[in-house]
Amino acid sequence: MKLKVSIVIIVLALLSPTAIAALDMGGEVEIKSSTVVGEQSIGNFLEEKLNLEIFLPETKTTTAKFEIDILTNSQTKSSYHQIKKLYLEKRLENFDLTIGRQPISWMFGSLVNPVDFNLGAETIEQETAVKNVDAVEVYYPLNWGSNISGVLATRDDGKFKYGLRGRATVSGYDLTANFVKEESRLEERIATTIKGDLGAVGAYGSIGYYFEQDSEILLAGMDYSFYHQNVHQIILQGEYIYDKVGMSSYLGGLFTGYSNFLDQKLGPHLIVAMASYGVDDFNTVNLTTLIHPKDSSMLLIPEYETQLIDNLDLNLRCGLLLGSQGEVFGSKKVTTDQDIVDSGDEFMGIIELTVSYPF
Amino acid sequence: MNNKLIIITILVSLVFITGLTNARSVEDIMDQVDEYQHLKSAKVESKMIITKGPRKMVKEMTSYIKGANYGLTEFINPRDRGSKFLKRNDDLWMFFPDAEDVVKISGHMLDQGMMGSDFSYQDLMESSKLTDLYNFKIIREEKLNGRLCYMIEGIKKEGKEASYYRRVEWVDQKRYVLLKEKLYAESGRLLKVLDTKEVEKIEGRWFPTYQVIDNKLKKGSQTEYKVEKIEFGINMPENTFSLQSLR
Repeated sequence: MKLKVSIVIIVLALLSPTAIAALDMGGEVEIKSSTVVGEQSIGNFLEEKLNLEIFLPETKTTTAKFEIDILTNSQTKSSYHQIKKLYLEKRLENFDLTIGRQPISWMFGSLVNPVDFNLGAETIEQETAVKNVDAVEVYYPLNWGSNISGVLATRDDGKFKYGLRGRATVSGYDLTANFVKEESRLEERIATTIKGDLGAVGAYGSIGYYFEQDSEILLAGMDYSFYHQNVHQIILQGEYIYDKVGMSSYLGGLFTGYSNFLDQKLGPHLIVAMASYGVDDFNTVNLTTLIHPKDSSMLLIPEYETQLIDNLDLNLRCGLLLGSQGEVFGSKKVTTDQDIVDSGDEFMGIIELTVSYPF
Repeated sequence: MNNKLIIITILVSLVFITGLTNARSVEDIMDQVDEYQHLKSAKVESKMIITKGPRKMVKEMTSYIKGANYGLTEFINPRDRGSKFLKRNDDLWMFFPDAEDVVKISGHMLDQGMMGSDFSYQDLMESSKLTDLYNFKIIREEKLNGRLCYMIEGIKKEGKEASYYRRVEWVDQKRYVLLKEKLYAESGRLLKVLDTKEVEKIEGRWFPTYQVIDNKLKKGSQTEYKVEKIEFGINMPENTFSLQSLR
């Protein structure tokens, strides 16, 4: 931590007084109330978050970024902070070099990305903390739509993780290939992705392979959008995923406030579908569904987003388990003392109400 | 008899000549409108304000536009800050500022409202010449807000991709700017009415800098579009419209 603060001071010291005068700040204040619903009891806790980004002056070839989340949690009665970004990016003649805490993301448009550098359900949860790592990244552009990037990152346990990603745009299709390896060899994976249009429909897919576990990854998905009555925008997206190894890694933390929401015995198959309905310019209703094809159990995530007056955002989101006990998305018996619902009670779902203010 | 014949001949000739003049002049008029409004290369700083009752949404953006095919837009308002879009021909890419990653957006999104606005990605990120997309004819002359205008109708050319099938324009006869536009679907339904509230002479060309859009399909909401600053004919680095500059 001291090292990170020192880096901020050095970055600021390197900037001229004029540049410091040009500093600007932005971010978001967020208050989230999570209600955990058990069969017999209900529990509630609050989380407050201040996201703060300092916009440092840029030159043509150098960018510095600093972004921090400061959080409090009424359940754990703790406050903590998390530096999301603290890096320097230098655009050299032939390549870009980025050093420091930074997001490393290998998205390709899917709802769940089983072939990301770090696995996390970022699209469903909107939580990208898992992507932020201490790393060195080299980005080498080949032409307007093709590039190669290499990453060397350190994990929390001090071990190294490295990855390579190539991207090419061919006849309107976005093609990527990537390789990632951790020092412990627990994760050594190779994958390719494709995204493009099939007529009026967007289509994407991925094929991957875990060397150590001798296990494949498959993903195929489609998306489509249109206007209902020329006013209400409707977006539909759905995908099928087969992944024996990584499934629990990217679904385990679906709801940040309750880590035991899903058990770790997820099978290799998953269907994810999302529908979004724009009520008007200020209100949107979303419905995300995770279906386990083997037992047909479902996790339903309805969501309502609205922009209130004075630039306030309100988000109401639920996670409802629609399955029998013992099924993947069935109700779960709470075995540990969570201080949210009673031990021994059956966990049914979670309701999150978030009010936020971007500034 | 001879006199009558001469008069009839003159009148017929006048009607014929007037018709020809109109046919020629509508092209001249719209060419001049295109000359002023078409952006061969430009940097535009603009603001969009969507209002519905007490609720207001403000979107501020900086765009680099190169003709009908290339566009790069970055949002700078707090809610969307850092979100960027790159349009190259029919391909659309988005930069997500939180994850700092680039994703290709499916083609069907090109016609959709950009970041929830009344303007499509095509509306805001490209600058097509109207004369390339529509066949125009003069309907009549009409005064609008005290200014004499050509009232012109445009019908989409066959095989061309345009956001609207039919458009009726009020073109200022002296400044060659569109003071008002009515935009229609192929079904004949009126979709939007654009009213130009402010026009400025920038770098020798008249340009609409403040427009109010009334979306006839949305009840009680209004969109204002303001050009805060515009620079025409700027030199852009070669890699401006690339995935590298989108990052």
